[in-house]
Amino acid sequence: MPGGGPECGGSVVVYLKGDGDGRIADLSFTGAGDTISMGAASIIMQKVHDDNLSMAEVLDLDYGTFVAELGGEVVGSRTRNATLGLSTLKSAIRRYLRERRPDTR
Amino acid sequence: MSEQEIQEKGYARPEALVTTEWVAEHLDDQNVRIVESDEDVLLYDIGHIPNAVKIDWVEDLNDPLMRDYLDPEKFARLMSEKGISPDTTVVFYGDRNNWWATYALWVFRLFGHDNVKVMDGGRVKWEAEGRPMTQDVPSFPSADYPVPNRDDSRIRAFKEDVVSHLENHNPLVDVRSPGEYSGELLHMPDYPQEGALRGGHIPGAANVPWARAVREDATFKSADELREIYEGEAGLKDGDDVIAYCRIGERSSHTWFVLTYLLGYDKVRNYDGSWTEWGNLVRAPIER
Repeated sequence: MPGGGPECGGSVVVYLKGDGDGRIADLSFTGAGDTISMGAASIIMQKVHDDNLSMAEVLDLDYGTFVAELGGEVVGSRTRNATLGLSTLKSAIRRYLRERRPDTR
Repeated sequence: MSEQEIQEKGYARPEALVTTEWVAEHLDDQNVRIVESDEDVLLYDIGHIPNAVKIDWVEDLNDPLMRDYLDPEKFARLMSEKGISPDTTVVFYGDRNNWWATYALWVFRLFGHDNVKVMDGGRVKWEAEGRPMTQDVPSFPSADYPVPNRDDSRIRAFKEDVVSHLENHNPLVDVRSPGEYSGELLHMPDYPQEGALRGGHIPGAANVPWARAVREDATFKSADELREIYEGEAGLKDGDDVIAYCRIGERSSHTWFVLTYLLGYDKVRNYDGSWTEWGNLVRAPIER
């Protein structure tokens, strides 16, 4: 799932593999962009891995909380850069769930 | 590179560029303020030229509500905080071939701060030469900076100016990539948020991607090389009334700098609404 663009400080592609049971079997990303977007993307991927978050739990993650954890003064008004990785990951999960259950919208 | 070598590049206003060597010799000069302005805003915090201050183009130079630059009072206050007085020579440098350095310099020019220069080669050249970098943030005594008059008309174009420019068949330079210029990029899957509903370019605009103005080491090409590109290929000539644009005016400020200072054109304006405005504007004519 690709995400990003010039206004977000970069672009990423998230690679997601599900285990069929709502859990994430494998997760990685590639991307290019500024320190905020790439650093934050790396941090969120690591957090999902370390906390063993399920797909539902990732979808529930709040952007504001995540930005506060990164540090408001560091991110400033570049919140789109900081949430690029997380928003693309959520899009990847939604797409995965949609494609696994074609009857559900 | 020495100042001599900048002279040899044959620019119209060679004093607008300084070498890394010159900056190294003026780190403690009270009359000089070195300003880092980057696209990747955290680079300064990771390490910067000693005594350089950061100007964050997004946070420091923009109006927080409306799409515009800060008002003159806030500009004066910002200058005061950074220890910049009207006589201070401000030297800009940054990442990505100095494209955000020229963007900040262009904004300073809106407020009439004309004593501005760019460090040729930018951040990457300073680092490549193994020159010192620090994380120490300097603090300078606040300077007196009277609230300036702001006059955008000399170097900034608004959409009405582009419309009359088209009516008068005056030259436009689109400095984006060929894919953005042709409108093709809007449809590529990796760019879901290119920022405009329509792709293409302003009718009649010549395409000169902004980075053609620089060499591999991020220094600017010589005047002859630049004339070959902007005049030989794009058809510009001295005396032309030129408007440059890109997506939000960041890359085109680099081209504005090249045409104005290096080639000596005296009627160049940056259309900072650029494609994010024109490509979303109802009934704005588009060419592909």
